[in-house]
Formats: sequence, C-alpha cells, structure tokens
Amino acid sequence: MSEVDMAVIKPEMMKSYIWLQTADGSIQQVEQEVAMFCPMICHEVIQKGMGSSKNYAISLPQRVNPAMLSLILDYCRFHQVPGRSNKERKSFDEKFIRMDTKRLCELTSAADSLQLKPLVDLTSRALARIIEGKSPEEIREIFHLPDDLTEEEKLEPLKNTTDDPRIRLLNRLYAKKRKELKERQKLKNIEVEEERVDDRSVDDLLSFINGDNGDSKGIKNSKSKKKNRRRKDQQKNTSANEAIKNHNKEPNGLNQVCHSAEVGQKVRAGVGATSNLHDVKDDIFDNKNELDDGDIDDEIDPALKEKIDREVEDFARRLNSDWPERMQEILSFGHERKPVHFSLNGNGSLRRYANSEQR
Amino acid sequence: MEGEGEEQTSIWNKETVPKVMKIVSTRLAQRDLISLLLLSPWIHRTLISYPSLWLSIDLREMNNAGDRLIAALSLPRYQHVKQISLEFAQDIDDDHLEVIKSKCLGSLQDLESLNLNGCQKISDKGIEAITSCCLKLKVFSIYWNVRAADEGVKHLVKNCKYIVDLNFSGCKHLSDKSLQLVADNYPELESLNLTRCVKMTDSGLQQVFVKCSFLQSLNLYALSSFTDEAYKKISVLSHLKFLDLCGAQNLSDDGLSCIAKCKKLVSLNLTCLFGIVGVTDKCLEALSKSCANTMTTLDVNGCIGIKRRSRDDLLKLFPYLRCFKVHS
Repeated sequence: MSEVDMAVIKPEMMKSYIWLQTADGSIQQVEQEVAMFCPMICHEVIQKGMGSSKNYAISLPQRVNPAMLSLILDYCRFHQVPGRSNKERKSFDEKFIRMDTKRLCELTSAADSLQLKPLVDLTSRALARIIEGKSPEEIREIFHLPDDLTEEEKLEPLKNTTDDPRIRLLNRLYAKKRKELKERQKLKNIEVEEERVDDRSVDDLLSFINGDNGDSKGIKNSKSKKKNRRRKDQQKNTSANEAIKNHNKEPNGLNQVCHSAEVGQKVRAGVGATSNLHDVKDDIFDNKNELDDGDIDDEIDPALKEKIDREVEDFARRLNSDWPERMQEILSFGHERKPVHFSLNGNGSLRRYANSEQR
Repeated sequence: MEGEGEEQTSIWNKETVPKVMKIVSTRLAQRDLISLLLLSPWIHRTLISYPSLWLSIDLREMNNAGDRLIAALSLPRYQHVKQISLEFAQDIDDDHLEVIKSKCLGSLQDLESLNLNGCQKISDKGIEAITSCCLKLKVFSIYWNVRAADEGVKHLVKNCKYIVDLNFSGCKHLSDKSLQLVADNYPELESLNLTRCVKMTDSGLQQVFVKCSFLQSLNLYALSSFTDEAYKKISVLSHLKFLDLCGAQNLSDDGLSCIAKCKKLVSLNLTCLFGIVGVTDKCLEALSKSCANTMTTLDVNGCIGIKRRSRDDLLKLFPYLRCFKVHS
C-alpha cells in the first residue's frame, strides 16, 4: 500500500502536484501549474524528473523558508492564470509588496534563488524606492544591520600610493584604534581585505576632510589632520605590528572624533583610558616643528594656518578632559554623526541628509 | 538557542543582505550606491566585485570636486569609469586636471562622457590635460566656460577622435576656427550645441553642415548673426531631428523652406525675443509637406509673420504636434 502511495502518479489521471522540500525539512505539495511558474522548479521537474512524489521532493534553496515559499506561491498562483489583465496584475503586485522591509528583503532573496525574475523585479524595485536618498545610518536601521563590525573593518590601513600625509595620519590613528579593539574583541573572527577597506576609507576620508558646514568636530578633525601632515615619520608600512610598535597609546578621543564622521558610528563609551590622552596631545604637537618638503601645507594661507593651530590646541585640551565628559560632548553633537561624507554623494551631504528639504 | 540566533543574524548580515543589495543596486543612482558601500564590509565587498556598477562618477554640484575626483580615480573600482559629471562642481581647476593626467592616466582609458558644465576655472590648459587622458571620449560638454578658446578645441580634436556629442553652449570665445576644427575632425558628429557662441559666423557654420552630415541635433539658440546663407545649407543635414533656432532674427522663408527639406525633423524652435519677421505661413506649409509625420515639437512664438499659428492651425499642418513651446 505504501509502495503504491510512493509510486509515480500519472499526470493525466488526476490533478498534478509537485512536492517541494524546504531547508527545514518540511515537505509540501503544490499544484503543478503554480509550482512550475518558478523556473528553478520547472527545471528540476523537466530536466531531472524530480518533484513527483514525497520521496523525490525538490529540495529548495536554503533561502526559501516555508514563509517565503508561501508568499512566492501566492504570487505564482495569481500570475500563472493566463486570463488576467495588466491592470489586475499591477493591482495585485502593489498590494502584494506591502510588507515590512525585512520581509521584502527575504522575499527578494528567495525569489532570486528560484529564478523568478518578475517577482525579483517587483521586490527590488520596491527596495530601491526605500533606499533612495537615505543615509547609511537610516538604511542600516531599516535592514537591521549592525555597525559594530564595520568599525573594525574601517580601521585597516590605506594604501598610500600618493604618499598623502593625510592618509599617513589616518593610518596611524587606525593602528591605535585597532590595538584597542583587538584587546576587546579577541574572540571575534574578522576577515580583512585591504583593497576593499581602502576604497571605503578613502571615500570617508576625503569627504570628511572637506570639513564642511558647521560640523565643528569634522572641521576640527580635518584641521588637526592637516596639522599633522607635518609629521615626517610616515606610515608607509601599513602592517599592524609596526603600527603597534610606533603607537602604543590609545587616543580614544581622537579616534572617536575621527569616527564621528563615519556613518552611524555609535560612539563607544566607557573606555576611559584617560591616561593615554596626554600622549595623544604630545603626538599632535610633537611634530609641530617638522617641516615636510612639498607638503600640502604650502597651499594653506597663513590665516587659515593660524585657525588650524588654534583649533588643534583646543582639540587637544578637550581630549585631555575626563573621558565620560568627552563622550557627552561628542554625543551631544548629534548632527556630526549625520555624515558629512560620502565623498561622492551629496554636495556637503550634511545639507543633504540633515536637512532633506534642501535637496 | 543563542548560537542559532547568532548564526541567523550572521547569515542575514553576510549573505542575505549583500545579495539583495546587489540585486537592488542596478536600480540605484551612484550616490545611493555609495551609501550602500558604507553599510557593512560584506555589502562593500559584494558590490565592489561588480565592476558594472562603478562606471560613473557623479560629482555634480559638489565642493572640493577636484580633490574628490582625484581620490575617486585612484580607487580601483573606478578604473573603467565611463562617465564623469562635474556639472556645476566647485573647486576644480586646471591643476587638478594636470594631477589626473600625471597620476590617474590609467583610470580614464574607457571614459566616454565628460561633463564639465559650469566648471569655470578650467581653461584650455585643463582641457588639454584631461582630453589627453581619455582618447575614447564620445561626449564632451563644457557649457558656460568663458575661458575655453579655440586652442582648447584644438587639443580636443587632437586627442579625442570619436566625439559624437559636443556642447559648447556659452563658450563665447569660440570662433569659426573651432567650427573648422570640428568639421574637419568629426564627420560622425551627431549633436552640436553652439548656444551663445556669438563669435561664430555663417562661414564657420557652413563648414560644419557640409562635413558633419550625420548631425541629428543642432542648437543655435541665441545666435542672431547667422543669415540665410548658413540656414539654407541646413538642408543637407538629412538626419536632422532637433533644431533650435531661437533668436535667429535673420531667418526668412527662404531659409526655412530649405530647412524644410530635412524630412526627419521632430522638433523645431523658432521663438525669438524680437520676433523672427521673415518667416511666414508659406514656409510653414513647405515644412508641413515634408515633416508632418515626424514633427512633434514646434515653437513659432516669435514668428510674427506667421498669422495662422493657433494650436488648431498648427495641428492641421502637423498632426502629431505635442509641444508648442520650447523655452518657458
């Protein structure tokens, strides 16, 4: 009896069903014409003869969980009916995609794995509309993406092929922060790729260096970086070891301010290494007297230089204050974490994202 | 249980979202793509690995554009950039372009479109520098640049042999010499905008008509010194679709009836602040005879010689007209 059950059923004899199995192991049967609307399933049935019984259920890709499968089948069930008008289909689609973004995302992924292009188009269009014009911070929130790890990834040294002193400084600061994070996160296993981080960091760096529009921290930072361009000791060697050797201090404040221009940086509080801040100050002022030949400083006019000097001093003073207070200061400048960067994004994106009507 | 949740999150972050972002990325503008890059290392890695996403650098209206452009061009992902727009960007000058020439030569090899509209600090020197890097350039636009002169065009034609779309609108120092250079070097030219290039005369224009027979779009807005001498020669442009003669004070029926020979005309603008008096209903009929099937835009708001110019009148002559006013 059971063997008869398992035998292949001739399609002409009764309404045909295709057997599908999702990654969690559950198996269901679906009307043939509905399931076959998915190219991937179609392929399995025709090319491999799968899906005709419970034992030969088609294993669906991992991205298709029962909930997503259900949605996809709803979509297929509607659209596979030939007689529908374009208007009807459009109307169905509009209602269909009304779901929270996370689900939309999962659905895109699932539909993609089943090669169901019309549904992928529909969902990805909706997602594009959601993403358009939003800041990375906002997007992260919508898609439930953490930014913990991005912080560490962003700390990889940049290739400094043009020997840009600003990049030298940034690499130094990254090294300091890396050490700090390493101590905190010794259990995490982060993959690192140099070229990738290069790109991102330069993006952030360059736009951030613009120091535009009332972002005082941003400006301070860029100015202090310009100040530090005078440093002669170059961060040409970008290996972590060397960095650790050179800079065994952790300028939390410096790094935090640095990262304040990074998108959506949740400022890490509670690492009160105030004793180290003093060294940072020395760092900054140590090389005041060093001159770099062919340094970009030449471009800055004296008035601006003076302003930079003042700002750096102010900055160092602030660094030396108590860490928690420092955190408060940074946290209170809410707008500064609305990024001033995306070098290739808005024009002074502070305008763009902090004040969207100015678009 | 916690481990499973963590794993779920990990899959979400490292696989699901990056894959979805990749799917969505083809529908996003450059600026949104950059936002995506900043979301997470996995999304970054995923998107960077698709070169087709990174063919355009959009620095429109940005400050520090010169530095940003240099930075962008030094990024590996822009090595094959095809389109760069610096329209109304600030803080970009010849020096930046010189730096690009000396350091970022490789990144511009595939550049096909360069928009320098409104970059008023760029002079012939900068044009020389940048055009020497992008030999495959097809579209070049340098609207409202009052420093550009014939010398710059000389460099352009020397370096870029494949130009099909040129916009010199507002470059008031360009003269017939530039037109000669264009005519001699760009026989395949399809689109030419000479708005307000007031130094140009009939003879220069004629050169272009004779040699650039594939022109589809010609903009002679605000150029009142041309005469029928030149306008009549437009008839040889058999592929012409868009013609803007706003301000063509000297245009008469003679000229326009020759223009009517361009059978593929889709859009014709004859507005004029002071009125194009020489054009009458007669030539509209001539125009209708040849272009009734193609004309969808016709602006005769400056032609006081045309008496029958109500919407209905025009529709009788040109049944497919949709647009009756070009410049508002």
